Amino acid sequence: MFRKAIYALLAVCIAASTFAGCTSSGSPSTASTAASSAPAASSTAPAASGEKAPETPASSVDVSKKVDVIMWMTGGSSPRDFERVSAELSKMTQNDPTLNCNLQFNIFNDSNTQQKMTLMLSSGEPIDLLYSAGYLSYPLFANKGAYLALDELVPTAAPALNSYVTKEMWDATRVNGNIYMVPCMWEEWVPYGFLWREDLRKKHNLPEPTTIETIEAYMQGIKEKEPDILVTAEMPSNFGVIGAHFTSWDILDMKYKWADWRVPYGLYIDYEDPTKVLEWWESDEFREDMLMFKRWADAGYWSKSALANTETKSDQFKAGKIACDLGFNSPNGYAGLVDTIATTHPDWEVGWLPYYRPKQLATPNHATQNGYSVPLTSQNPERALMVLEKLILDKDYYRLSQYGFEGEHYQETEDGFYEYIGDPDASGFPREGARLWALRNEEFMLYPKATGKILKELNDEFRGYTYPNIWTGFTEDSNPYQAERAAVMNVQAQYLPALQAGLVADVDAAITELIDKSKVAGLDKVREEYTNQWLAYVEEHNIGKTTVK
Amino acid sequence: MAGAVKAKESATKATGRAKKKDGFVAEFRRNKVMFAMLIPVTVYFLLNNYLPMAGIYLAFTKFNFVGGIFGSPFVGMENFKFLFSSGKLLKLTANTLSYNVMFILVDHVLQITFAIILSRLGSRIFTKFTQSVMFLPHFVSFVILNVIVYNIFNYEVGFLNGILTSLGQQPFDAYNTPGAWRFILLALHVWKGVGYGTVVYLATITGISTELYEAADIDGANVFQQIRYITLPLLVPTFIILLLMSLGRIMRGQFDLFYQTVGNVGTLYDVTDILDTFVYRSLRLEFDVGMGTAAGLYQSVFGFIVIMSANAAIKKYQKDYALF
Repeated sequence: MFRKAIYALLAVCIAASTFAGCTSSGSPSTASTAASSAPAASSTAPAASGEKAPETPASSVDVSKKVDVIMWMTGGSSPRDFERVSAELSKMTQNDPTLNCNLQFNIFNDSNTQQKMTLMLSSGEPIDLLYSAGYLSYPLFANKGAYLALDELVPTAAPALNSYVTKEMWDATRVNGNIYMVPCMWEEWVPYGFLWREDLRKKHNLPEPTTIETIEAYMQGIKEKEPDILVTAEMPSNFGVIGAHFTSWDILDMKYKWADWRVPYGLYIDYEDPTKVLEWWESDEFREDMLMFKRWADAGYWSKSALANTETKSDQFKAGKIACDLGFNSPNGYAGLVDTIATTHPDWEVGWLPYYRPKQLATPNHATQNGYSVPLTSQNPERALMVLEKLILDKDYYRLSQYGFEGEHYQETEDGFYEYIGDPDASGFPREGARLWALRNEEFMLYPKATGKILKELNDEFRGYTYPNIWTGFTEDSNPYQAERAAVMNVQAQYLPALQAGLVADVDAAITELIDKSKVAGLDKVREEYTNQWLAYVEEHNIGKTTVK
Repeated sequence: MAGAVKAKESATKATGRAKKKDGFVAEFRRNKVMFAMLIPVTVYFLLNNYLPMAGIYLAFTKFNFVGGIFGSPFVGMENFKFLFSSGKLLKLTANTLSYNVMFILVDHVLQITFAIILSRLGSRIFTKFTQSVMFLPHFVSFVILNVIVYNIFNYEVGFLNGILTSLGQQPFDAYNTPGAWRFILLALHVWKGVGYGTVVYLATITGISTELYEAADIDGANVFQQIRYITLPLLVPTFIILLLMSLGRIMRGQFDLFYQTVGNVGTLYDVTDILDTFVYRSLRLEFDVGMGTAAGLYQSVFGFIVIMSANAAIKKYQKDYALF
């Protein structure tokens, strides 16, 4: 499959190069003009700015020519009325004299987001705005020049957007000194947490899960007293740039004060002392954790075939097949789940323990968590940014793109909440149904009444013990050790999930094997390079010790 | 493609000796129509098979989007390093080869056996029915196969363990028993492929003249002798062509089969990893075009050597059957 993809790419590129002359090693703008020469002369020359009269408050870009702006969101299904909403958005952008463009907003209905994104970026297809995120290898793509640098484009094309995003957030998206993404400004905390069936807990009088011990007691209670359902259904999963893991390890967030999110290559960096990079896999703590997982696996909390499980935990939880989930993500997810369960299983009660709580340390989302980038193939980068600005900072655009038609899909209650019209499950355009969470803007956002309360409570709680996200701004440059990294990640995929799933005969032998094989693959070099980059970052930004109360 | 090749052959035959004398232009003039018929195939292969070969260059570069294919920096053999640094290359190559050899052997033996049995059956209805039933698994998507396999081998609620426990046996932990997967994968491959190949052989058998069998009958040859001395020898050319074609793919493995049924189960990788799955897993997150092409090149070169030596061997012993 991968090979086929490469060949497809090659065929396209070679065909293109035959016509356009491919050896251009010049600046991004040269490349984009070369690419645009194929489908007729539909593009305005990028960089025709600065000559228009500055009366128009917005931007100084010449919009006299009507162009297409193609925008893509990947990895999900589009709601039933999506085409009507996007057609209406397109009408608005066409009638807007300050934009004068035809917005074509599409969602790619495919769950394999990462792969789809790779293909979209490499096929040479013209795209003006593409969702991008740290967990979808934003730094990697930026490093390889897949996106246009926005440093000079945004201030001229979208000055309002430029000042709306704070300097810290812009800086945090920099890769090799350039900005390649318009980050989401909506402050959000996205911890993992322990999700459980509260009604079952009450029924069997089990302890409230607040610590690892009580969580274990809860799981043991379910195992003994509810033989018909599984305790949990942990599974192997790919955690983006940090590679393959077994989802049980999410619970370790409770115990470790990771500097921000978790650290790759079997290393550990503590939030309170980020100047030290420790070897986690070699430590006693790691051994204890793995012994604990083996104990849990032996007790049968998850299937002996868990490594082959592909059915998501949240589906199984909603279907009542499992009683708890060791790694349920984000307050938003929890609020949504409570909302769903209220209609599907009104007799249930659920509880969620965000792993921030036990350690009293919360860190808001990374700047590159969500955002939009302008791919190198964009033919109208300025206009694209102007559209983006409208979608985020114009109330009409915002409400329509996020919530659909007012009066048909939703209404705003008198006290300023979001309310579905009709049955939420049958809605043609659910709340944020176009998956534009990267454009969230607190000013125009409407919270649903039920979930809004949960969200607010949780966010207020996190605000009480939130600390700066010191990770923001660090982007690993894996170029110097790409080969070793690929090999190490492969070893990890083979040995680590089984270990974290407790599905090994001898924990100590399995740990030794993991480390030994990783070292053969080049772990030492990877660790050394990564550590150097991290320490350089810490020094450059003057990050010192902090104490978390 | 076959049609065009034949057309070309017959064109050559028709002109015979004259070709050498008159040269290509005369040859072309005489067989304009034949050459015209070659155009679509030539274009197809040029675009899909020959033009992309230039991309081999990518295996020696560090790809970036700005430079594109020929503008990215040249790095020499750097991209091949990850194949070797993992220390797994030997095992992967061995796995890929041994799985494919087993697939080819078992597939062909079973396909020929079934084709002969089906050709000998009296009842048309039964033959057709059997053929269809054998053919159906070919249409089962590998994604569905994954679900089926998981539900058979799941330790707690799987079909197999359900039967075993109800018979009072110990449950079988398939996902922690790597050795078993050699046979499971082979069985799945055969299950999916045997019907398709049987049809090919059956077609060849149907093409054998009935006069041969009648004559053998009169000479007193029994069924087994007829199969031994008529059917099997006449199947050899088909077998060799199919064999050479599958040899060409010997380094590819069956990516869908391995990827879908084994998936993320790391405990099985030592036994079930083939080059394709390894490369896919290593690079799906990295998006490194250079390393991907390097791995593909390694597979291709190896596959090339295999098919060239197989063809040479056949040429030596059975000249007529060689592919080229």
